[in-house]
Amino acid sequence: MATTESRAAEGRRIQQEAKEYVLHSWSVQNAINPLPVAGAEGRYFWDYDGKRYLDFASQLVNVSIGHQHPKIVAAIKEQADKLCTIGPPMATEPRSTLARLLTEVTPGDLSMAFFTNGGAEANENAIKLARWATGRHKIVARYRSYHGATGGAITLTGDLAAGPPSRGSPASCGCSTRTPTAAPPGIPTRAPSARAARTSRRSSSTRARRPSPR
Amino acid sequence: MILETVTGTNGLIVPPDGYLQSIREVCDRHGILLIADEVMAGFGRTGKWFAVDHWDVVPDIITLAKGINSGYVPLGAMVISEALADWVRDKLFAGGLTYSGHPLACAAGVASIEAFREEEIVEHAAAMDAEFREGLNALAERHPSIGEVRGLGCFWGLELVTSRETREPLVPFNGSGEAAAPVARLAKAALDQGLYLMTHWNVIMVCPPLTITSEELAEGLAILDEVLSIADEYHAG
Repeated sequence: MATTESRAAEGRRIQQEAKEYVLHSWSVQNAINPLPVAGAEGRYFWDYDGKRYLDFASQLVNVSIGHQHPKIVAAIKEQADKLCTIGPPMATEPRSTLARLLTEVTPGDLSMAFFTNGGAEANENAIKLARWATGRHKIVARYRSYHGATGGAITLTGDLAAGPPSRGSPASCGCSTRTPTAAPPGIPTRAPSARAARTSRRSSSTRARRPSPR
Repeated sequence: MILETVTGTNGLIVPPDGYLQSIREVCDRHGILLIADEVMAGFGRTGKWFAVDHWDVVPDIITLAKGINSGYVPLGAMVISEALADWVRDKLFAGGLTYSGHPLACAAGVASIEAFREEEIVEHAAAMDAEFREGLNALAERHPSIGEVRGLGCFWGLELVTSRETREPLVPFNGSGEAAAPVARLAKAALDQGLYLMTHWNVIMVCPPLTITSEELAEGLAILDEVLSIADEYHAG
């Protein structure tokens, strides 16, 4: 069937361009084949060959209500027609309403909301506010945890994600029940490359002490 | 002090009763603020609106994202206690983002909370707890590679081991590449059969949308049953 063939070809092109141009998170780029997704509904999504998949992960445990819930899709369309974007200093209906709803559904006296683009930034701002309000610096966190991959949040976890490629800001102190683990093989260690080491003997500048990017 | 109320990706770890209450007490005794990261566990995932509700603990700050609007448009939030709100009201809050409270994301959030209420989604997630518990424990009876079944509501993890006696993980903590191959094989086999799984080291996350039906859960568990034979191959007894 010609239509099916052209859909399949479209899927292959999307996959090819994803591999060529997109830097994918948490991946060895050369080892992945991102599944081209054509659509989704409820607990299922499907590819360009028409194969359906039951989503047992809610993607990254985020699609809690299921895919393409008609009430949310309608609300986004309605809001897009009204006002797509407005700066944070303004008051706008959906922001005010959601902040009030959050204070209703969250427990106890939680009573004021700050909005971010995602969870990592929410944690960054929580840490910022806690340090500011208490005047204390240390943050206690757990080794087996994950709070996001941004500069501050990443220092809170023992996850591989906190390894050298994403070493966070040195300002945090992750005090924890830490079980010592060796650096996984293949991960660049703290030791600078031989060339960088030679350079650092010749120069005391910070830049020269850094490992060679190769 | 910051913690995930129920640890998510790092092993799906449900705290024992009393744990969070004792953390709260210690924090109060020493004037430490408690931040509950409910980015993953919040919004009904555990069968209550928030996981802290299982233990009646109120944090000073709760952080949210994911289930806030199911990610239809990116959105996160922190919600702060009345004491912190009162404290901050007359000070310059030196923090912000150009898209803080983006209208499209917030409209999706409002619609999502309304749908949660109208369709009793949190109640449904709580009701599904028993089906997950029963179905996953039945898998554990048939598959020696399952070391432990852990979870709450629609938030479950299967810990895979090479030995139930030593509880040696099938993939080590922070394992990657060849060390992670057994679980990667299993996930690939599931995908081939039409089941999308999130795995992290030796844990299979079982976290479908909260709106999952009994039939859909059974469909997924049947495929899991088949592909777990791959993990069993590595089991030393």
